[in-house]
Amino acid sequence: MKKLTTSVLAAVFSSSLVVAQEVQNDSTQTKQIEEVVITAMGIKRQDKALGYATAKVGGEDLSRAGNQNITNALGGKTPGVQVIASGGAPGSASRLVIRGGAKSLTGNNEPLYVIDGVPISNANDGNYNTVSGISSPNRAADINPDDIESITVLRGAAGAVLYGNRGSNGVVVITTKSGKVRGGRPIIEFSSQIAFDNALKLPDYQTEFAQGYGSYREGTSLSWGPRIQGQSVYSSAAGGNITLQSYDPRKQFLKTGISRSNSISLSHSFNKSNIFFSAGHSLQTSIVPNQEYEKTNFRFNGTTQVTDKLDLGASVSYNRTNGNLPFAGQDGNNPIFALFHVPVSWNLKGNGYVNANGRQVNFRGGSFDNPYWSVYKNSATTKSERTILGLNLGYQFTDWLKLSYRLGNDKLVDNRVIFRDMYSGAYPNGYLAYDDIARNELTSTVMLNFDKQLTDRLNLTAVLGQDYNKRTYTNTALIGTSLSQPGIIANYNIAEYYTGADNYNTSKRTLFGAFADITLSYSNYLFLNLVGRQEWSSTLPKHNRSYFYPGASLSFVFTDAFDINRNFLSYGKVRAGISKTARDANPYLVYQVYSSAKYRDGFTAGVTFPAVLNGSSLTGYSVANTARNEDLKPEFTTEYELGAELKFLRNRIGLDFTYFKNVNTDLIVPNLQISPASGNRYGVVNLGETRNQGIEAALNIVPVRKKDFSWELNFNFSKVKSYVADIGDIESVRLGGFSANPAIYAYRGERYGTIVGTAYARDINGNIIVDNGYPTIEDGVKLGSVEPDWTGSINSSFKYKGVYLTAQVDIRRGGYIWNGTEALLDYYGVSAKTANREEYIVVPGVTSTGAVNTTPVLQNLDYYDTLPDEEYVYKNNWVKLREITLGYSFRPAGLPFVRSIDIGVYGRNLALWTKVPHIDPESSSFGTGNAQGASRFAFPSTRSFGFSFKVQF
Amino acid sequence: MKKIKFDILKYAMVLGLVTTPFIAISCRQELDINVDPNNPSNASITSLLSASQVGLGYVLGGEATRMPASVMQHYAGHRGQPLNYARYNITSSDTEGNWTYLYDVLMDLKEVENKGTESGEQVYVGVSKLLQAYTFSVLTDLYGDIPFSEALKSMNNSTPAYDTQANIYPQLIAMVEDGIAKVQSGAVTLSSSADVVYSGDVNKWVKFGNSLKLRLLNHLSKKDPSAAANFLATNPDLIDSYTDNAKVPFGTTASSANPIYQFDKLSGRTDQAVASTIVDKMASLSDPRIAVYFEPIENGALAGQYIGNTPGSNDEDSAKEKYSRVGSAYASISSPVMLISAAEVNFIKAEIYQNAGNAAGAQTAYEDAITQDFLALGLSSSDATTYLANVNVTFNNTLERIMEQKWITMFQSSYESWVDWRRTGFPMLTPASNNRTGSVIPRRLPYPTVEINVNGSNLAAGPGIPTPYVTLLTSVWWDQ
Repeated sequence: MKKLTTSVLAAVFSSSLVVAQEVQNDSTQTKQIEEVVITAMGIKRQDKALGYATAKVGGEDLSRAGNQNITNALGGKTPGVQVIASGGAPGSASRLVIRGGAKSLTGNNEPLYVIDGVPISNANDGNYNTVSGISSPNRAADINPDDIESITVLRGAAGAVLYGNRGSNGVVVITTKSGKVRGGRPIIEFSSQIAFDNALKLPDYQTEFAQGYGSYREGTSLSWGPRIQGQSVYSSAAGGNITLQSYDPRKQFLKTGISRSNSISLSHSFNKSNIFFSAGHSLQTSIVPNQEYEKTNFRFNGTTQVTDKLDLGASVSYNRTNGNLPFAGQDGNNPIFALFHVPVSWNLKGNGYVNANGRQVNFRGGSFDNPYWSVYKNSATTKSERTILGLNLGYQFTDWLKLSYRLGNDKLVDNRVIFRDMYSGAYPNGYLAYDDIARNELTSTVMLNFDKQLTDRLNLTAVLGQDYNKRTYTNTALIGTSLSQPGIIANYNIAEYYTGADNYNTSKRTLFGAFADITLSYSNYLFLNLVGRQEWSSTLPKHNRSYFYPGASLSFVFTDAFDINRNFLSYGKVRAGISKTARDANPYLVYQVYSSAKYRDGFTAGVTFPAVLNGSSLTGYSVANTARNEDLKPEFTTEYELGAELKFLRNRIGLDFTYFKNVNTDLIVPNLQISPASGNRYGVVNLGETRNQGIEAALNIVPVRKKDFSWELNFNFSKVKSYVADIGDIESVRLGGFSANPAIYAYRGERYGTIVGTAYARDINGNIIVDNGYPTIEDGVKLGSVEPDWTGSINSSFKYKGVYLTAQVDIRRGGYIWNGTEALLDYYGVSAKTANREEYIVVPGVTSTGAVNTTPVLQNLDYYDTLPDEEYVYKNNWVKLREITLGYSFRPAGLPFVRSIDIGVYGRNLALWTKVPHIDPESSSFGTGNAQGASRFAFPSTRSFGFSFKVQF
Repeated sequence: MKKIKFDILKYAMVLGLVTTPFIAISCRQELDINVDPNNPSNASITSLLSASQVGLGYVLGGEATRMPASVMQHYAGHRGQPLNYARYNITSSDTEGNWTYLYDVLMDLKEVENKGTESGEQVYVGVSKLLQAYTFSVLTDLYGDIPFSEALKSMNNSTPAYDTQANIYPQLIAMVEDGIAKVQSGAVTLSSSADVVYSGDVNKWVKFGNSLKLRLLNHLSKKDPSAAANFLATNPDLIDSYTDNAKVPFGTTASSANPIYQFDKLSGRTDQAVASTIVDKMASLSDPRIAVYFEPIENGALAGQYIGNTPGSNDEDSAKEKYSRVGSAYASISSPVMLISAAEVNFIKAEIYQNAGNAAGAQTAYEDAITQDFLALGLSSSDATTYLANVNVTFNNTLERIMEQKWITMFQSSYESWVDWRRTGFPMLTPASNNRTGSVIPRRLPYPTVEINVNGSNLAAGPGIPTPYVTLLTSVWWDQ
């Protein structure tokens, strides 16, 4: 074993890519595994010693319903965590925020992901904050859910103070399986799942009217044509006369997606060593044709006690993905955008998508393609490889002093190929881009750990440490703006290359930290924790780059301190904490630059320098659109929290309650939208203050606990109220959305995230002002906050002998969503309600003279054209039956080598109850950034039914 | 205890070796890495000048033309935004790009001014001032009151206040005069390659300055009817030959292509078309420019013909079977975008002489204007003579005739035709069908969404927050 570890070490050092594994801190006195929580820096702490809120989710709970993206799987499992998927396509990204995700105004509000003590990237390089892009994953989805032993969510800033920076939004601490087994015999586990996916919810369509406007017409997205009565009309797209009838293009196009996953693992303990090896593979085909996402994972975790004093750990995970992904949002090749407004009079499947001369059969015209063309001719593929390495060394000097060192490295390369064939609507000459992203993150941490009983009652644990983090990013793109021949995805087929300087982009940032974490405990029931961190960041100007932040928390287990009847109150703890954290900026926001000149408009790609004009090649630079800031400061968060954990009736009822409040100041806004008349479009600023407060509660009830039968219920509840207290002398900060409106803004004096768009123009009495029978509108109106009033979930788990039945229901109340899907379906005349187009409506309102409007207007295109965004803003209330699993675990008789077999069926996203029409409101079309609350042709979420099989040898 | 100490030493050394490469790195060196490797920290005055000239041409030919061209019935889109514009369905969202891009160009020009002032390269400062005056004038003519004196100050004033157009105009004239003086200062020579408009010819820039001044003074025809005539009486050196036309060239690749070509051909939109109003007018006059102004219908039974869409008509033509698009003179891949032409200058002169009762002067200028345009488009002067002989073209001593011909000639400078129409009422236009404004033709653009959202208080304190479909019917200062 010694030899093996030496060679591992050598390999690890020669490539200088290393990562870590959890610290073997066996000095912690643990009776039951549930009582131990992995906190910051991989330190294990007794749950009762913690003065801040955490929640732990077992690996089994994450993987049982076949969710390949752990970010999605975490939804509804613990209080304080909110997950929103950008769409339901295989491999698409989700956003997870803790405590509302409203600390930073425009910076990243997602938590830090840490796997076995190593910080990793959760970047979304496909559609983070954009209305288009591609549906590639948030990178935490690379992790194989079957490898996970448990996930601890550190909700507050207090628990994460030692991570600095990114940890201030909370930390998702992932612990993978260690291989530790009892009894010396290795465990081999094999698991397999297969599931069938369909769209959970599709829009409702009218089936009576054909494409066109007045008469039958093609080349338009409008279905304001004639009533479908079997008449014969000329179709230029079909190349002849067609008989009008009603089809179901959605049904023709969409299919059942299939998800398959298999994984195998080996766990073994021998000679004071534990090893864990796993291999996993999953393949998900989409509900749209020709798209899929494949993921392959390997992991090796090993720990060994080299001597009594020296322990070593190493872990390596390798992940590979292959995807053919949908274009997202407003992209002309978003298959859903094109599909959702196909007129019912168009025989989508029957008429094909390529005509005899190789051109597109495009009944719609313009920049949106036939959906079949979008998925068969055009593609966005991704091939990623990721290696996460960890190395741990621990040396126990004495029973109270240990030195540990951890080196971690996360290396990700994603090779994407974006192809739009010739004759595509928006790319008549074709487009091909080889777009490569490379990310690397190195973290080195050295820690000195003290654990000393000072007196009979007084114990001191302390960690002193130093860390270094370096992150690099490179994006290299080779872009062809026109092709020579159709259908060939190859470099030699590019007729013209894009020459802009922005086809190469790189960044590097470093962060140094020194930290201390000291816990003083009295009689193992009163714990005082003091933390502090000094940090130096490369992304801030020299005079502001060094900063310090402290924290303190107190935990008091009063049931241990006082003589309390344990039969009633079995466990009681109260806790309080206060902490300060800081966040640095993104790289390159300090010094002013020029940019390679590029003049484009919202409709064209524009002119890019260098350019050949008048026969000579010219360089051209322009003032950068963003004014940078040489006085940039870090942004600070101060968070307070109070909590209680109570267990009653011998742990039959458990309650975990937290109140928190945070104040965030000097917020870094790297892209504050300013008046273009200033000569810049954006400015880098420190601005204002946000405040958030809320409560989080988890109630655990065990109505039945018998030997053969148990029933457990978990209720999670979170209520967060954010408040944009101050944003300097401006009114609002744009978070994302369309270049004009609707968009999402943070408004001073409002909750974080407000939908802004057009609204009905009203008189002082609130009556809609009607002009010629049509409502009048005004722009730039606040249409509602996107933040939920509360979110909750109910988890139920029955067990009878080997049979288990679990269910999860998620609930959201409050906040608003802009239903852009409905707005456009109405405008196009395809939604069910537009079937009443021959009926008149008298818009309730008053004319400009104040008289009540009596002018009837037809509910036709002209009418829908006048409806403002306000008409499509809904209360974002929903209830979702998220998961049901039913299974049977048993040890088969007569097969002594089989430890257990588990067979089950499961369903995910089984039902949705909401008043928001046409769409699953749990979707986002402005990406996974801070601009939530808008859905416009988001990829439909899917309902899955699956079977699972697991066997342990 | 000794044993422990020994162990500590030994293992501290081992661990030290492991960690040294990582923690002993010079902290400072590792932190001083925040200089952006992707963008230059400095840029030459020539690279800024080339970029800003091309930027101005791109916006003028694209965003700044599309909406005015739809109002002036040069264009009549059959779908999408072009159709909306033709129906006067022009919203704050629609005008945001134009506003933003014009101020972007102004900022680049301002940077040329700043660098030139610092280095003493006065000729560059002069060219910058002339183009700034040009760009500001296009902005104020389109929107009315705009941020001017507080504009272009970056983060030193991220919410600039609005100046009234009445105050801006005299300052623009002063800026032009200052620009002319600096261009003539002889302080350094202008790079012939970087100056893509005039290849470094300062004399032409002087002509440009005087012509721009004449254009701007003529814009004040309702406010100060004698201003332009008085200036013209000083015999300024003007652009009077097409060889002196100020135009921005474009290249032969997709990323250096003409803006109309990009919109009509490269974007795949196919929703723009030319208007029947101008096509029918030119056809009725047997105007030979029709073949270079418009592209014949590409496909179907009507292929080869020149037909425009009726303004406001929602008659889908992505198959290019029904309507002509902008043609080779203005929308081929490398067609230049005109800033000021000899034709325009002569039309201005004709208008001034006509208003002064100088029929002979007006006739000469009118005929020169048409002839210069023909020559610029590659037609011959005999073509012009033939055309001028047409009874409906021949000078007839009316302003209407002059302005009608100017409207045809300014096909690619619709923002200027819109100014002319607002000042003179010519050509007489029939409002588009299915319009959003109760058949009233717009007289300005509404302020963009971004100003409403982030500069709302200044907007409210100045010209006011625009009311959709109402504000665009009101008059800017010189139109009152």
